[in-house]
Amino acid sequence: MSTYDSLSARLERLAGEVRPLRPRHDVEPVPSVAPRDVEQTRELLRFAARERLRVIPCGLGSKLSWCGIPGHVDFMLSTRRLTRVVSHVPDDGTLTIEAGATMADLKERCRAGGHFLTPDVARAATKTIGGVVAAGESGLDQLRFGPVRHHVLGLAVVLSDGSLARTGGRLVKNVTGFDLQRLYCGSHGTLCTIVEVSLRLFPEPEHELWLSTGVATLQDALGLAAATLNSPARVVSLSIAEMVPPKQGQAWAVFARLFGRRAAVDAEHALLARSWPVHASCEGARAREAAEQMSDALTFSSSPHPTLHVSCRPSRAMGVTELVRGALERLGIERRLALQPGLAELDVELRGPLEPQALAGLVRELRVALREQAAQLALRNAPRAALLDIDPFGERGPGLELMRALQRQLDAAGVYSTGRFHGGL
Amino acid sequence: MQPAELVDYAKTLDCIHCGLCLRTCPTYRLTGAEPSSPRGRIYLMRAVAEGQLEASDATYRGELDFCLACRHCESVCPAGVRFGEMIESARAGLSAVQHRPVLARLARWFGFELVLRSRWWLSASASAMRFAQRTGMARLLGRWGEALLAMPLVPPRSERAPLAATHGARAPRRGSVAMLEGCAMRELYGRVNRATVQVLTGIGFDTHVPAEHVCCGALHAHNGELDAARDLARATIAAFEAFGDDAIVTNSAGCGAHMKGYGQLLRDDARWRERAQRFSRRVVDFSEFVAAHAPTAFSTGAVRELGTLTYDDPCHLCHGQQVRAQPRTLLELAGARRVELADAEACCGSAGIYSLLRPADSRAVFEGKLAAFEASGADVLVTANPGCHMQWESGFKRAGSRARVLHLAEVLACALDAPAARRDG
Amino acid sequence: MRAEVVHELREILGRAGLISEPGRLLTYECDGLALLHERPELVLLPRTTDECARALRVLHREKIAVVGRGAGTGLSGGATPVKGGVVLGTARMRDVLEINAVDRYARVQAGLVNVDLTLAVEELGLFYAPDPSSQHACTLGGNAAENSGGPHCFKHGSTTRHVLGLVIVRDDGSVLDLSRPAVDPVGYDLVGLFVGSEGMFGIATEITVKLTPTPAVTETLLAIFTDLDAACDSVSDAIAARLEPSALEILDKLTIEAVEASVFAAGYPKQAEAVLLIEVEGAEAEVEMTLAELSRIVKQRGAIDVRRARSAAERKKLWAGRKGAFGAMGRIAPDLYVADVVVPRTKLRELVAATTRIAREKRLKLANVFHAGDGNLHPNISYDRRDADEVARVLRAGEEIMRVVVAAGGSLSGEHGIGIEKQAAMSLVFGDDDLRAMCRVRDAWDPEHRMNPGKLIPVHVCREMRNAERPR
Repeated sequence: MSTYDSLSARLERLAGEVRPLRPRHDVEPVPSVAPRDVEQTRELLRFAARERLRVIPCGLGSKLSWCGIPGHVDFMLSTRRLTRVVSHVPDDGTLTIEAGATMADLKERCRAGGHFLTPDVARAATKTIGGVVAAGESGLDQLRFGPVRHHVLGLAVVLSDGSLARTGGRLVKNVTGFDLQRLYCGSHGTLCTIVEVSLRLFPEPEHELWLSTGVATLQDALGLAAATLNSPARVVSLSIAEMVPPKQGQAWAVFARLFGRRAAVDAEHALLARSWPVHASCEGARAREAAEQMSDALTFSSSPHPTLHVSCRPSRAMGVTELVRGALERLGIERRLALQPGLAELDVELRGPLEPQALAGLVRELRVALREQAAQLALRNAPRAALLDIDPFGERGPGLELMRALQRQLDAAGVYSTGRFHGGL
Repeated sequence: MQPAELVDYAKTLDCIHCGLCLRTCPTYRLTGAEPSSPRGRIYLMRAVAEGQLEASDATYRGELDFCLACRHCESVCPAGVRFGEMIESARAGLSAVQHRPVLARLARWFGFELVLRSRWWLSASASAMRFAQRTGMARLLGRWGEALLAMPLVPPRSERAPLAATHGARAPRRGSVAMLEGCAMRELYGRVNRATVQVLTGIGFDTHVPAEHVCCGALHAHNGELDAARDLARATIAAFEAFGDDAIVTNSAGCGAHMKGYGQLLRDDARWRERAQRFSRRVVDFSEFVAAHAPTAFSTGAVRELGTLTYDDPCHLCHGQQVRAQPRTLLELAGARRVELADAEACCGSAGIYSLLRPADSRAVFEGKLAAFEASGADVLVTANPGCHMQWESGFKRAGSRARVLHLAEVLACALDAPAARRDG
Repeated sequence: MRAEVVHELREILGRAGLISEPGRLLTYECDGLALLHERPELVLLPRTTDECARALRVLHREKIAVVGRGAGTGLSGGATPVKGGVVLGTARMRDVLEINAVDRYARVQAGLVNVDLTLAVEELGLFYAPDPSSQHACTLGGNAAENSGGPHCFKHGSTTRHVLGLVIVRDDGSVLDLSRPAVDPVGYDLVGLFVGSEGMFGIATEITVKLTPTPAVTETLLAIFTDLDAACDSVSDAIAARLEPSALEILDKLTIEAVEASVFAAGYPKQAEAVLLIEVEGAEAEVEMTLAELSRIVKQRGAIDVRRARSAAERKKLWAGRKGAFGAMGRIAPDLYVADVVVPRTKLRELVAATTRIAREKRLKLANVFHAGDGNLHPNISYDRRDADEVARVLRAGEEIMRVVVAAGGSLSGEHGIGIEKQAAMSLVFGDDDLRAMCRVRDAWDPEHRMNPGKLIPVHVCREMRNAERPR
């Protein structure tokens, strides 16, 4: 019996369901075990610690390729079967649920309770709440609601010694104990397995509106964005997408999402109409669908192509976008490019042609150039050959030593320390 | 003396340690040190009363001496702590236990018991000061001499002549008032007294000035000489009882605040308590009185010629007497071009004889005020207290500024019948 | 402490940067929680990050404990020494270093007073959203250490949502510069982790915070009730109706009386049993609709009057009254114990009633003034610390309130932190495994446990960790 099979068999005895899964899109599959409940999860980790195994926790695995190349991995631990609703109190605006619930299911549940779920991530059916929190993935609605880490009220996690450690709580306001949820959020499974998440919910909008228009230049698009952001209308999301090739002389599309009370949305629309040129709009359920479609189209987080995720300050958005575009033009790379001007985030899907070495060179060159713009660049879904000396998360900063100490403390057994996170954590 | 008698223990218990006073305290602003804040000083007083700290502790005295007694803290204290009264009691307690050096005792005796108790000594000292200033002999007096030289020049004897006992109304008669001539005001700013009379008579009030009255005792009380202060209070009450129930108008904020507190000062004196209360009820600040009997006959052109004015609240007017609106209203009525002074309620550092005792601290406090004045763009600083008047004049002189200082009464006199204020401009 | 060490520190910080006289040190023996106190051995008041770092290097070498302090307005004893050591105050570090109105952030020294930041940016149409009631005194560094709240955090979130970057001086005097350029952390979110760590991870010396645009319209309502329960129920109703005002604050009768007698008298009617202070902000249409619905809800719950502030001055006055409430209690008794529990917003009425009952049983005077919208209760108990029996009853009442609240799904602190005050009570909410994780994180930051020792983590967990790690 191969190592794979013998480990599979042991995992199966511990937790039932095992199937192969790649730790990254271009790494050989390892057994992936999906425990039935929290107790089994703890059992699996105690087993891993005892046997000195290395584990990558995940949900449905949609963001595994955001990370670098892992060192040796023994098995994946998927929380997808942990879907119990622990507590949903619509009248308090809070929800506590196990980590494996999909974002699509949660969205439905929240809507039924009269709430809107943030982050409103793209391709919600392919993601679990645990995975979203672990990756710190926010939706385009971050403009209105802030990043996901602001709305995680509490977490229950399993540490590598099998202990179940809670942090925060289920209350909308709480400073009891250290804010460890902020540490776990965005830690990509390198400190713990998230098994339970408490979230703050927001009121479900009574009415929704989706606006779209086209403009000739990036400058026009950013001007329109600035006018929108500086108006009293509080847009939920605001995006700019490059149209290649341009349509009727319009190279840039601008989209905005409004929601809230009907009268308020109408008032905001009237307000925006002053600065927006001729634009298309749709409302209600159709607006929601449009928002979802565009979110899927403008978010390249699970793309099969390498993607660049650049964040900077709003005042630098123009310079940063031009800089990145210029570099891609020079190399003649086919691309899709989307900008969130309010968040000052730029996402580029590199559709090729681009050799891994050239990709690495491009990232290196851009990072140097972006330093002056006080911007940072993450490389997601890249082939392993491009990552030999590139940290996919960004340039190494001053906090790395402390991050290592934190990992040593929380993961003394080294189970979660697979070297695929920033700085080789 | 028992420790609890060295401070007003009961009042220290009003402080709930919330800290809202810190930011307004000039000495805390300078040092950032808790013991140099109102909350810290109260904590120390309480510690003395409870026997945890010796009243003879050098740092205790140091912190009490450092306080400007501006009472800004009272204006922001939600618990209604009466800090002004507490610092006076604590300083009195200190006088009782403290052995000051012979020279310091002599100086205090000379100042408080001789000069501020007799018109002759007061006038003679003013002449001596003028002599020392003009001949430069002040340089021989060391630190005190430097302070003296930094002061504006004491006016010649002719300008320091006492006011006549009675001045008839110069407009249709509306009643009569009694006016406090004051000690410092008479010797240093006789012109302000004359302007005050001019305004009071100009709006239809016979104005009486008690002959031979010397000092209200405010400086004594602020410096912990409470027995002397009580003596002077009794003399002042007696002097003004000659004028029935006429309002007692003062153009000195420090004197006004103190005299309004006679009832409190003599609360334990059975024979005087009621007379003191009756007296206190009659006391009004010049601006209060004039605003309540606002004239319609201001000729606004003359005041505009003075330039742009800004009003700086004397501490003992805004914090001590809650008079804030009246001076501003009157300046508006007089047609002044007025701008607001940033942080106008902050102390200028004069604080009675503080500027003489602690010139360096006094100047440090003043720096912020000067910056605010320069930022205001005004040409003239309007005040309503002789101490502040002197502080601003010497501050402007030191900074080489061409800005002028006027008492509110001088501005109003100018508006009423022109020349007064412009004469020495 | 050895005289050479004091001398060395004085060389670094200058005369004004060091307080060593026993009399003056006395004033540092407690913060806003006067119930518990211990005098520090020394107080350091650095002017810059560099001075702070050099001083901490000396203290590291000498193995001396360090307690951070902003303005000392905290209410859980966070700035009170427990095991002697040195208090390191940021009160002299109050410069605004950078304001960027386009990108809406400010970089300031940690000792800047909260309200001074808003004053510095309001002309630009911006403000700093977290507004603790002590905002006229408390520092942004203290706010970051405690993850402070305030009335408007109901809408805008607590401090943690507004801190973008930090410069931290670590236990060993090294400087960790986390004033990063962009919004998302690279690697672990060290800034988010630091906020709310109550001085146990290091001393923040510089803070980069988010600035928020001043809303187009702000309206304030005052709903007057003859019954505290009804006021609570109307807040629960408002939350259940998915309404989003920016603040929902309740003041009860005793609080109203104290405030109305103070310099912050706001015009709250003295005959009322409770008032509900409501603020709504945003675009005009939205604001008007929300106000209409809130008015309907409070009237349905029996409000006898709903007043709307007619001017900015009136609105300011209503809020000044609310924010001065804690201090105004000084009129009722010499000392005040402010509890700070959070409850699910569906249970406001029953838990407010429970706190009242507990105080009555203990013969204590209790006033309620709280962030109702967040479910953050502040039962305020007046006492006189010279009365030992009363002090004991206050502490018992505090503990009982925490027990009742935790049993109902609540927690120990919404904004004041754990400090010394609720250290033992942590075990009501967290199991040993939860607390051990916190201990480990602290070990990564401060392996020698010299930063604000003796706080937050219950003693038994710390000790257990120490024993486990000792080589056998």
